[in-house]
Amino acid sequence: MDHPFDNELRRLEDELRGPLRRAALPSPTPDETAQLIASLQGEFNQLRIEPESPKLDFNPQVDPPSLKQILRSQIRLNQRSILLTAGAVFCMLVMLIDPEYPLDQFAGLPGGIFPLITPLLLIVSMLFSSRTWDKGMRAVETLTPYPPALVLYTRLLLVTGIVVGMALLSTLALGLRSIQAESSRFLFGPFILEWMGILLVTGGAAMYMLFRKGMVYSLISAVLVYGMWIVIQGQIVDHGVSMSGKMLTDMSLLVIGLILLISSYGRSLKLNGAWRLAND
Amino acid sequence: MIRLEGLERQAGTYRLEIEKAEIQSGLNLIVGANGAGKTTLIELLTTLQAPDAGEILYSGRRAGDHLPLIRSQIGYVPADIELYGDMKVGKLLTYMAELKGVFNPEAIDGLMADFRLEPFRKSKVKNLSQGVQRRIAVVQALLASPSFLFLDEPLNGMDAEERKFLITYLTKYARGRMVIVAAHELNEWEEAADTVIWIHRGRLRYIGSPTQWKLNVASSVWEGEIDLEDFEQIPQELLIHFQMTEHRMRVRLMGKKQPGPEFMEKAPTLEDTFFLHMNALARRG
Repeated sequence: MDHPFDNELRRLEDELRGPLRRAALPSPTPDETAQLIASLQGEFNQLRIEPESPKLDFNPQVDPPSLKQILRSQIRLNQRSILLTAGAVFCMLVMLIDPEYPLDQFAGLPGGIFPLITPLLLIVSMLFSSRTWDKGMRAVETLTPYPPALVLYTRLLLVTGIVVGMALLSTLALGLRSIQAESSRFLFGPFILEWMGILLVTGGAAMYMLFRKGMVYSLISAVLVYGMWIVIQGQIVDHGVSMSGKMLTDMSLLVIGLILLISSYGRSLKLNGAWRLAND
Repeated sequence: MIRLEGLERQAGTYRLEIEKAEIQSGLNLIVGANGAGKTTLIELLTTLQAPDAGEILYSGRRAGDHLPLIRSQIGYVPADIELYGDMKVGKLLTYMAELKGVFNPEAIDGLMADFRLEPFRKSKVKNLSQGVQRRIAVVQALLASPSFLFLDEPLNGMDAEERKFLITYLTKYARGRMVIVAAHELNEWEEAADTVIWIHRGRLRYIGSPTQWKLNVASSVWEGEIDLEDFEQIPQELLIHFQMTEHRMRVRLMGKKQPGPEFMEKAPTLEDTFFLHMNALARRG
């Protein structure tokens, strides 16, 4: 039995069948779908291209590196232990040396004990201050925008500067003591030339080898240079070389030392790629 | 983005080998057991170690060709770091900033304020607590606002408040930058991590979203309170966590089926997921 409500619905459907057929769109055929996909292929290909990651630039927060800036940062480092040690050593030397005969031979070497001790102090200071013993701190100090070897170079340069400065002050003190003792044997020029020549050539050799062969070879070369200098000094005593001849030798050592130091600076700037040096 | 290609590095008894991987911006969490290669991977990514083979590209630039440039964009907090104890905090951070080429005192002041280090500016580092020293270590890494920030176990030595602060800070910092954290305590990074990088015995096992990492496990996590006698029956390898209550034991364990009526299934945390994956690997031999 039909319900009146059902009849009403059936009648409504019959009436609307015509208008609805005109409004409804037929489903797309497989061919039409394929055509649509083919026409959109270009867009799909665009999407598939991997977006290029933006190029990395030098950190805008960071100033371009310079030797002056890195030296400034290294000066902040607490060098108290080196200052104290060097101060104590030089005080001892000033007290030890006889002001009346300041250039007397020590252990058969001309020039006394002063030029003998100064390079040794530099080697030890370089060893202790080149880098921190803590691996973590060493890692953090390595991660700078500077060429890795430049940080090491400036640190060693600073240590050399401290030792040279202390030695100059001690020379001044020695000179004053000599004047007080009314000794005419103390000659500032030859004395400074003597210790500074061997000091710079030892430090220069150490740095030169450090940036080429590493820390062990650096130490070996510094000790070798120092040993050779002792041998040469012995020869000078044996053959009775004149003061001018000795000064010429010391001047040559000083120039060689300076050349080695400057060459090490150039080398430290070029060590960009070989980052193992800074980590080994 | 950092891209790793054919990366190899011998580290002690194992060899880290990653054929291909891409690390995206956001907070990336490196997970793995002790000795899995997490620290080696971080040291390679920070350019502290050079790979034996393969390459690392930072936004398309090779580390070997652009070392100062890349290092200008890297900040690093090692797991163990002994800061210069005799230096005062302010002086140490100024020294570190200048070493990184940052000559802007405001950068230091801002970070000292953010990390509540202002009261310690004139204190010697060696006189400060481990947590404060750890905060200083984090600040030195942030001085140049680096695009790539690497932290190896950064929460070590920090109290609960410091840990929460650092995680929140890093979550914000990672927006538009890359932060990579190696951690043991995974649950603390649950809400923060955008990506999980799982290393196992020198191999990259997974890199992707934490959610997917959790979905990849075949086992489930169950939690319940049981008697001590029942606790002793549970195989050790299934235990994730247990805690003594008054007379019973609160146990969290893994298993495919419900271990007993006292147990309820729980959504796995990152730490659970790590256990589940490690357990699955162990079963496979």
